[in-house]
Amino acid sequence: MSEVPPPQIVENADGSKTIISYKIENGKKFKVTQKVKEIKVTEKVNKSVALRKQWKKFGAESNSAPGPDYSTTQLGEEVYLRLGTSWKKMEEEEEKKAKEAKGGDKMITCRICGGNHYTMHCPFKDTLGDNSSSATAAAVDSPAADAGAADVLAPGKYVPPSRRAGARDPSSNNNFDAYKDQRERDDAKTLKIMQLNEHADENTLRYELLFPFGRIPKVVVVRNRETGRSRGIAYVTFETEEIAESALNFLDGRGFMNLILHAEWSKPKVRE
Amino acid sequence: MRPIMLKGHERSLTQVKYNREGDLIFSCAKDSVASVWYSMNGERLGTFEGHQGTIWSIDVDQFTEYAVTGSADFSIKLWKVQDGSNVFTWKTKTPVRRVEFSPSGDKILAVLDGVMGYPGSVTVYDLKRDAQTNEIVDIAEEPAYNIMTREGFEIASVAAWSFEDKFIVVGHKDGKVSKYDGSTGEFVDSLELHEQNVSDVQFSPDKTYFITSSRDSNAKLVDVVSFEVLKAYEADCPLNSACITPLKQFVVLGGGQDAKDVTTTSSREGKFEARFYHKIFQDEIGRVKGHFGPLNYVAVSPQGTSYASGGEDGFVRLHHFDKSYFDFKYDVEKSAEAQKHMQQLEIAN
Repeated sequence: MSEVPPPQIVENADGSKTIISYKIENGKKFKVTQKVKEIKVTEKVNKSVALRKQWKKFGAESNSAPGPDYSTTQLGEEVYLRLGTSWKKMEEEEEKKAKEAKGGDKMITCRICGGNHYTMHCPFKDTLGDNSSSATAAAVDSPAADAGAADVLAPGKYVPPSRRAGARDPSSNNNFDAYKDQRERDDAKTLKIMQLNEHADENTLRYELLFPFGRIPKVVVVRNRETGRSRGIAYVTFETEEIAESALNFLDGRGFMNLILHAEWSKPKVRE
Repeated sequence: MRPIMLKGHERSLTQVKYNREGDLIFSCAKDSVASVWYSMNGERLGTFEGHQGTIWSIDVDQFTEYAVTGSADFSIKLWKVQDGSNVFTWKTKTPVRRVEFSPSGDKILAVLDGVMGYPGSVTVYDLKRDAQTNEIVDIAEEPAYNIMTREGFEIASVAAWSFEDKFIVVGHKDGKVSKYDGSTGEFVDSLELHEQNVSDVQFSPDKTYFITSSRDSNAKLVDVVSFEVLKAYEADCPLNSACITPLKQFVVLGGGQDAKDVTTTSSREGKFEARFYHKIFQDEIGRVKGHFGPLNYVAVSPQGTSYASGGEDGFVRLHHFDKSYFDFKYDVEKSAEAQKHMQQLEIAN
């Protein structure tokens, strides 16, 4: 193995140095040429400050190593100081953007006006809200009072909020009584058809008996709860009262599936 | 700006101070140990141990030789900054709310609380220093004079020295600010500045004017000689501290909802932010968030390159300003500069 020559240092004209050194690695000889420029940076520090940097730590820190200790000194998260007279506006805009990115407040819908606020904070609560309550009051006065509203009048009886007059479904924007049971019917447009064949189900009625009367919103065949057998009674709701009336004339006394039908206006359910 | 969080205290901070060169930060809190930190990297140099109660106030002399602390354990302690040794202890009649070295370093003022039948006072102690080494060679055990709470005033909450030890400016619990002669303690003047407790008085770098902050959400800039209000700054929350920035024409206000109300509000609503106002135009020009509780004290380094805030949350947040901070100028300032530059060009031609 050959000897490694001592490194050479050559001073260049531009003030830099060229260092040529040799090394042997894996039996191979390498020549390393480095060009180095030395720059002296002088930082002026107050004498007393420089002295204080050399001070020994004391008190609770007397035994700790030089340099910041992570248990007492930590870097915080980045904070921003944007100076300017319009900083408030800038910040508000940013917040708005952040809110929009989140999906904003659109989850909240007022049930009175459909606006972007809680119903209790609705600015139209007094005007629009009053309307609906006076409407129910009128309904109570009239003899054809809704059964639910009539219940309200019965003193000393508990009425669940959903059954109270003017109760609305919070999930819908509409103003009608959506709390009302889906199974409840509008008796003005509903016929009760009796003496039906046991085998006639809703679809049979729709497609074989009621097809001339346009769209039929609802057909319900009354069944025995245990056996599921038809009790030969069906309630049919029509689009309008006129169609319902013509259907009554048409169906009453007519034969269907070997039985003679008997049709009449449906009556409100009697609640006990 | 990435703040350095100094987590050396177990309870809420009461005061944070820079030394004259701005390389050390002194902090004290409601736990009984004061700390000193390097402002460059947030490294803790050491702690001053010996008090038995809340340390309400800390100060360092202009030579960074000695520090003084005032505590609720009825004592004032003088410390050597270099090794944290306790040089002297004054016993007081009541808790000490505020201590400060005079600019010359030859006097110490202490605000004594008015409890247990004591009417409250600002008490001044004399020190004698060696002319060469600035070492304290003689300490007067008895106060040089007491400024007792005057009739018609409520007790003092804060006090500070003006230039050349000339005046002592005292902030009172009822919002009044009064001025006393620094050498004799004689009453000079008073102002009805605020409606509520004056929470802080800090002087400008040259100590010719000062800023007061109050729980009534206002901060005011007052000239110490004429005792006239120069500027007023209005904030939207109670203020605990205010300081004047060197280098730039700003003031920094710190405060927030009272500590006892904090649990009922989120940090957003509590307004726990350091607010920057333009000193001359009196506009709010920026805020810095970060604390989880009200800011109890804000201090700017005498070089104006960093500021530190001590919060009720027990942390000191040390911020070194970005370039944008130093570059910021009002449009009017910019146009005035441009005009000046044009004039100079004209003269040159």
